[in-house]
Amino acid sequence: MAKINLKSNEMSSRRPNSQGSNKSLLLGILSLAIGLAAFGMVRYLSIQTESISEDTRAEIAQIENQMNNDNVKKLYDFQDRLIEIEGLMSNKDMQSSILGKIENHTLAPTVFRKVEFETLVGKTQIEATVIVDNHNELAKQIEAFTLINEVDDVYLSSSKVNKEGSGIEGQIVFFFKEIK
Amino acid sequence: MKLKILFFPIALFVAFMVTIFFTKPEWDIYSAKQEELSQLTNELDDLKSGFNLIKNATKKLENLNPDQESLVQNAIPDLENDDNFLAEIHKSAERSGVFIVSTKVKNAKLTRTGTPGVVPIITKPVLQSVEAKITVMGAYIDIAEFIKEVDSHNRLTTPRELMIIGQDGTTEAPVVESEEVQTVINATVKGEVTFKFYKKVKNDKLQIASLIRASDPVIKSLLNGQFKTGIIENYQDKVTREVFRPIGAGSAGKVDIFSKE
Repeated sequence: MAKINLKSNEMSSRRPNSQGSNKSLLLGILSLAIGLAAFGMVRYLSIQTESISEDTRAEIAQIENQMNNDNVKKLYDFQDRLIEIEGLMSNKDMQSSILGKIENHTLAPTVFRKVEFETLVGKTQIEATVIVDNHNELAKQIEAFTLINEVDDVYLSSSKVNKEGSGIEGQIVFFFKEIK
Repeated sequence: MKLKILFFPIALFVAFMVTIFFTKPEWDIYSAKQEELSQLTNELDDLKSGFNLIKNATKKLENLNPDQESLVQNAIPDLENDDNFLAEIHKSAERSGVFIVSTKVKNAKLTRTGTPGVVPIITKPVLQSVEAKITVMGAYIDIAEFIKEVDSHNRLTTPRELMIIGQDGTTEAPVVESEEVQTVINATVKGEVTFKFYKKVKNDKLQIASLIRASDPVIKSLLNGQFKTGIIENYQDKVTREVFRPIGAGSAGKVDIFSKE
């Protein structure tokens, strides 16, 4: 009698396939578990970090509140005034120093009739009206003013015989750099 | 059976998707929180060390010479204090020997707006300036001395304009001849000095915490340990060592306010 193979190929390979599918199931569950665990871990760390941040914020607020006392406010006000003084002093031109330098560079025959200072940004404009004997003396006076270190250039604005007719009235303009 | 085999790739896919769509954003949030925490920790450390520096500065302020403190408070007072301003000008005129012809305070409306003493809680006080024009008469040497005095006032002034005019007929110094000596009478000149003086309102309601959060430069400098007491010495060296002493009103009260007696 001829042997008949009653088991199909499918039936004969069932056992190994079943084992494979179980493994696949396990691996699948494992992958899912790993994925969820990773998510859970990150979420947990995030919550922990937030909690520490909250504590740190509270500590910062506490120190800031401790700072909000009268002594610190007084210190703040004093420092604020000191900073203002520093700023104003750095831009302050001492008119007395400018005047002193003009005095030191005024020639004996020169008589001032008028001097005008105007403080501009970073410099002071000086407009002087002087009486001298003649144009040569006026030229010498202009030269003397150019010798002041802080003066860049000296300009003659105008010159004319003065009212009394006894000399020359010259108008001179020059700029002083900042003098501290 | 086939479904069981398919479970692994499906689960792998689901796990992958969970990682991508849930874990990744959560990781990003976590990273941001970590960064924020690191910033907060640094802020806290800085604040702690800054607070210690502020405590030291407070002690330093308490130990300052009372004159040094007054020097700063007089330089930029919290009120306009026109009485002190006038008294200091008068003192300078007296010292230099000039005669004050007139005093004018300009821009009054611009600089005096608002109700005195009422300052909004959050607003940081700002520096306010008042322009003054003083006209004086005297010899040039005295006027130059007066300008030197104004330059070195305890009340901080910044010059704007200066005009010195020789008075007609007196620009040339006359010489008086006596029996023994020749005396030069100095020519009379007129001086107009224009300068600014300042005030800064004190705001006791300021919140230090809000100033810190607003990165205010003053509180920042204190937190960095830069209590600028060196400016006091600099001010004393360059401007004045003399502290202005305000005058008192004396005894007041009279029946006929239109009479001199």
